[in-house]
Amino acid sequence: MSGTPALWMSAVTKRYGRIEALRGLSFSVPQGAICGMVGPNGAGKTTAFGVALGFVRPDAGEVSVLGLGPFDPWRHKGRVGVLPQDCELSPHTPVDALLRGYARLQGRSAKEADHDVDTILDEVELNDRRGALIRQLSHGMKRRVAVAQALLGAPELILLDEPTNGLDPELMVRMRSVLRRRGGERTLVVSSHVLAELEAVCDHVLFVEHGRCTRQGSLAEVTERQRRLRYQLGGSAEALLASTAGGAGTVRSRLMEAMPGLAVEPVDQTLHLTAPVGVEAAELNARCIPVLLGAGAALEEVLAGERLESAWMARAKTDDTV
Amino acid sequence: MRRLRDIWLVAGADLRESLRSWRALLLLLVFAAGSVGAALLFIEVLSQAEAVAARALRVPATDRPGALTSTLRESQELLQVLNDLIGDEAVVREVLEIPPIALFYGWVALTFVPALATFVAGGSVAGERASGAARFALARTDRTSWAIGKLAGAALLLFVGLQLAAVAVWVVGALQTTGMPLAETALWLTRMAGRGWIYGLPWLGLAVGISQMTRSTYLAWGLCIGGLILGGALRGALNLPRVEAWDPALIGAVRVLLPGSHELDLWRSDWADRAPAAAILLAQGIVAFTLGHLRFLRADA
Repeated sequence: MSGTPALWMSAVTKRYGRIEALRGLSFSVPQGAICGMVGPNGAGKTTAFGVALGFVRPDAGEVSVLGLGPFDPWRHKGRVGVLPQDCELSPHTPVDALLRGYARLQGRSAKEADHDVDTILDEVELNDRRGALIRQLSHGMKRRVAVAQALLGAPELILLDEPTNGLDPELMVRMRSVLRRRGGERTLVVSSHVLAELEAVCDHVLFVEHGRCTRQGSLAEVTERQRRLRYQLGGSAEALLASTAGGAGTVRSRLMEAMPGLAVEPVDQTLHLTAPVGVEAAELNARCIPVLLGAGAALEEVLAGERLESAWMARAKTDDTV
Repeated sequence: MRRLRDIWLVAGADLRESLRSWRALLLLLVFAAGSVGAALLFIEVLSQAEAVAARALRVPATDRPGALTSTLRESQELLQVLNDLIGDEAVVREVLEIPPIALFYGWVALTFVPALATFVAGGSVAGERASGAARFALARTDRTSWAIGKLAGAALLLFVGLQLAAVAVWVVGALQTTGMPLAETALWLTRMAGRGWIYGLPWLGLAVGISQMTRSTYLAWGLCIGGLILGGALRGALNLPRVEAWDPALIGAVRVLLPGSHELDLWRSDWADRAPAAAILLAQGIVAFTLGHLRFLRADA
């Protein structure tokens, strides 16, 4: 990843009448990242996308796209792809003609546009419907066309607002693989409510709430992969902690002895252990696993870090606005 | 050059999308049908006028009108009809060289083109902003190129509509009248469609200008129709002798601002008479478009 952020915003504000959609939004997305933008409805994610692409005029603040300043259709021509939220494609145009038109509009020659369209239709598996009018497609297919137009050509930065909205589970999986492939080459910013989906695709996360970025960083940092472990058990985690099997005192007290400063949290059949600052997950595992095995715990899986969902739910506790 | 390329791409896509949509097709068909209906009505009037002329000349009347056209062109009856349609006797004498059916089509085109232009272009920008479709294009080109492209697309659609209606009128004339000079009439119908198109430019500019000022398609339509009504009412009011007498210089100046005041000049045969009117109509379209565009540039897309 190069030093210049792919997308950078500083103290951006935007007000719609009495509603303050963005309240000093600041964040930075490194180049080459697949960044998940997480936030509840009305948090300002779509407005942030709009500001990034010049659709929405901010009241204050600074924006830089690919290190070239605010979005300019001529300066950034062909270098940024976008899937806006809830936007309808021209209903009476055939799929291939629509995509070819967009490719041409982003500066591609006729030959390049034809090639781009063939490639992207293969990628989103719509080659057999290339001649169909947009209005003749199902909702899921329209969504795939909308994603396809964002990936056309070779954009360096791709902004996708709820890309898998309305897709069936199989298509969601396929779409994830499309995004992962693109992510290896480009910077992707993906907004979604489905945190598990973002966790599966992203390597960078932004939490946006009330028009502000409340947390940002790599997925490993945000989910504390370096010092947090999740033990998936065959039984109740609470019961295991209260058990005295395999030694003196409860499993909980023996874990605390094995690693002073350890945070222990049972959730159904999962035991969450967080090492004190400065201790890494490998050492945590090395010290705690003998205790668990000694108590006869049925360990099914050990995972590094907490779920993105848990990190999101725990955000109120941290409140480290950046 | 890059900007021109983008404008052309947007206009082409807009025209193709319009031609594929039932709404635009229906609109063009209604206009073509209206023109044909009006042409049939005119042929009926022509037939009756010829019957009058035949009686006056003591020659047998024909089943299909057109046989006495050259005589008719000099008849007082036709002169009266054209006077009623055009409203200026000097212009009427100038246009009497035009084949009657082309002349009549010209009147239809100039009369209805403001409404046609409004319906073609009123929702063009507002509709795409409301549906969000504009954002797919605005991520690729600037607002000015896109909006000019939308205007150009609507202008092309209007041109196609007027020319199609001219073809339909030519076919009806060829089938329903005798002795119609086919090539000359075709040429004049094309010219009349072109003059109608030029007269439509300020209305197109106004419609696309208004369409850029709002994200609501219905509000855009409403404002466009309001503009049409207001323009017509203002023109009518300015023509009242009492109003004209109030301040002739001021009224004259206001009149220049109204597209309708330049309609008559488009009938004239000399290009030197038509060119200033065409230039003013074009300028009016550009000004109306620009006023709306200035607002669009500051607004959220």
